[in-house]
Amino acid sequence: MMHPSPEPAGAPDEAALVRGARDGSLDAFNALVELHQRPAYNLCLRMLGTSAAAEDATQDAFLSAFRHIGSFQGSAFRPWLMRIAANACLDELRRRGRRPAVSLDAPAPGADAPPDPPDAAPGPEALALRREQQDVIQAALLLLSPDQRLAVIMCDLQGFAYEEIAVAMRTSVGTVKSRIARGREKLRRELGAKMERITGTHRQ
Amino acid sequence: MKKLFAFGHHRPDTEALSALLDARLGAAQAAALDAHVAGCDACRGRLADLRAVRDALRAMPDADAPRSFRLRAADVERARPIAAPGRIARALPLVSAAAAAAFVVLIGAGIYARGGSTSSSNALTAYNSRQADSATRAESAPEGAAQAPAAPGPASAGKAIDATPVAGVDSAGATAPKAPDATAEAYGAAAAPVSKDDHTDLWCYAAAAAGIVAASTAGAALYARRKRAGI
Repeated sequence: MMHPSPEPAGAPDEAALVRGARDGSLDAFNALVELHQRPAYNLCLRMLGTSAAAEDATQDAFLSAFRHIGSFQGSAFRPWLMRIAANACLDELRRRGRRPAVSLDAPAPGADAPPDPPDAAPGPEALALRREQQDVIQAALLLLSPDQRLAVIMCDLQGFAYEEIAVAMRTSVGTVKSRIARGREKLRRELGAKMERITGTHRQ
Repeated sequence: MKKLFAFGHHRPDTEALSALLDARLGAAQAAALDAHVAGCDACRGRLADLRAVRDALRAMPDADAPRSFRLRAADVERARPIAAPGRIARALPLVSAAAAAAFVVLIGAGIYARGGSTSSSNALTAYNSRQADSATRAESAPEGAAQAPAAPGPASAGKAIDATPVAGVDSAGATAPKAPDATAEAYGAAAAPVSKDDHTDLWCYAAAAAGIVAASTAGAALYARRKRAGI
């Protein structure tokens, strides 16, 4: 079926949408976009740290995904898409690398459009605190190597399984495990003293 | 230390602690690590810190997409041409390899043929001509002798070769001085097609080389593009 009817009740059959997209149906592909744009955008946002860059990278990723949908063979569309999104981010980071003006090591937390505030605002003061926590964590994330950052983001922020991350990163589960561990360890050191303040309620 | 057992002797690595957090250790390994952590303040602290980091990351809110990323037909028009080449792109390395192999074979055959041709092939041709000539010599001897001096046309290169010895041997005297010229001309004419063949070979090599370069470049470009796209 080339034109999946958007049924409000259940999720559209993703495999059918992929088939449609492979046959060149823009409608089918756009249905996939709707399904996956939120995690794709968030991956880019956490990888790059700014909403503007994340928006561009997400757009690039979906264009690239459409272009290369013919080479998608697996059954897991989202990890495949995440890989493309991650690559769009790496392209952007490479461009930044060639433009030393924008330094990855000196992210300005909160300087550029911070992530949207959480839905249920518990009050202006608490909200501000949470925003600050997010900025600190986001800044620390940007200190990780892209590989570690991607693994940590996919695992801890987005809840992907090791196996899915391995598909997205085209590597082994063992490597994923190691990247996550080293990423978390580096974050632990970076956040260090701030940890108590940030995660005081979580600390056991 | 990758070993996850006997933590009494080894400080468990971060990877093990991190995997324990995610319940990604085998039951035996998890039990051993749990037992170690229970009795080791340092490791308990590290595990707690890692857990705090993970919990903080998990608490990061998901942002809403700032807009819809649906593709418009205009975006797709630019994108579509690259949508198909999966199969071709996969086949290109093979095609390149086959073309390279063909090239090598061509070169090899060319060298082999040339190495033999200048010495033996031409001699063979001349020999064959002479054989043909001796077969017809009996009938045409008088005419051949008469024609020998007038033989140098390029179209009759073979005849010229035939005629020269006939003239030289059978009717010595008047036609003899002419013989060397006729012979030279005959070999010149005979040599011409050979050098023409060499040029043809060169063109073949050039065409094959150009084809290979084109195929390889296309293959490399496609590969690079797919790799950049991460597919």
